[in-house]
Amino acid sequence: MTSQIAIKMRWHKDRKIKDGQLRHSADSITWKTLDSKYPSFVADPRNVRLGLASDGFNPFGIMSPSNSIWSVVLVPYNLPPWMCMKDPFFMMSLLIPSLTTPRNDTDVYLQPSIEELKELWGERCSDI
Amino acid sequence: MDTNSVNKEDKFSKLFFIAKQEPYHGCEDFSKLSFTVQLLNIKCLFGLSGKAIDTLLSLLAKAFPQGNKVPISYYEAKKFIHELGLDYVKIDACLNDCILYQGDYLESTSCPTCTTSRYKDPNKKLPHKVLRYFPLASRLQRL
Repeated sequence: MTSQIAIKMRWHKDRKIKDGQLRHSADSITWKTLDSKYPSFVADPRNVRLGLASDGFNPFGIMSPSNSIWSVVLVPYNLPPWMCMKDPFFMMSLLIPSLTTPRNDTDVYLQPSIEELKELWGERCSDI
Repeated sequence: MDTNSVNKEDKFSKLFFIAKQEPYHGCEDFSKLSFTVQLLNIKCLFGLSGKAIDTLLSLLAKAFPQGNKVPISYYEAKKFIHELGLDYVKIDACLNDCILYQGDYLESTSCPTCTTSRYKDPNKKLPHKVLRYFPLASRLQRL
């Protein structure tokens, strides 16, 4: 991590305005619930929280529905709102080959991702 | 020092070495690494074919001064970039999305739930479905 981005990754803790308005995921109830559930995780401002999003796309144009792919993208929510939703910070995690929505079968494909996240839980960046 | 950190250091010095190489002697604006990365970026941006890059690279290799280190083909360029370490893992999957062929099922040739074959053609070992998994840890480190 570069020094500038390392500072920005602590933005969710260091941000100046905390007036109860919903400006970032860090103002949300879910975020605060997680805070109260895992105080040891929250104690270090360098904790990393990721959002997961998925959508289907067609690698060979709209005319070829026989090749549909579902991508899973991880978004680092630590970053300020003007950075975390920009493409340089998106991390593609999976490419799932599927003609239609994988629906509940998505969890089969998420296995490797979940396994790694479990491994990373409680580790420091330098320990990896 | 454990073997892991020795490996890391090895990898780093290797990266440092390839980052310093120049595409031809006396080139000041580019390293071989930045040249290759930018070329492959252009390929992705405009959807150039692998063959187009092959041809372009062979032309550049001839046009640049003698003894240049321009990758001679698209394959060579990809192999060179591979050293950066941000690659992905291919995992075979069941045709009906039942399981991934990893862990206990790594060597299985048919799905234990729906008994569908893993391969389109068992002789050629051509899998029905391939999941591409991009490991997260290295991406977080490189942020």
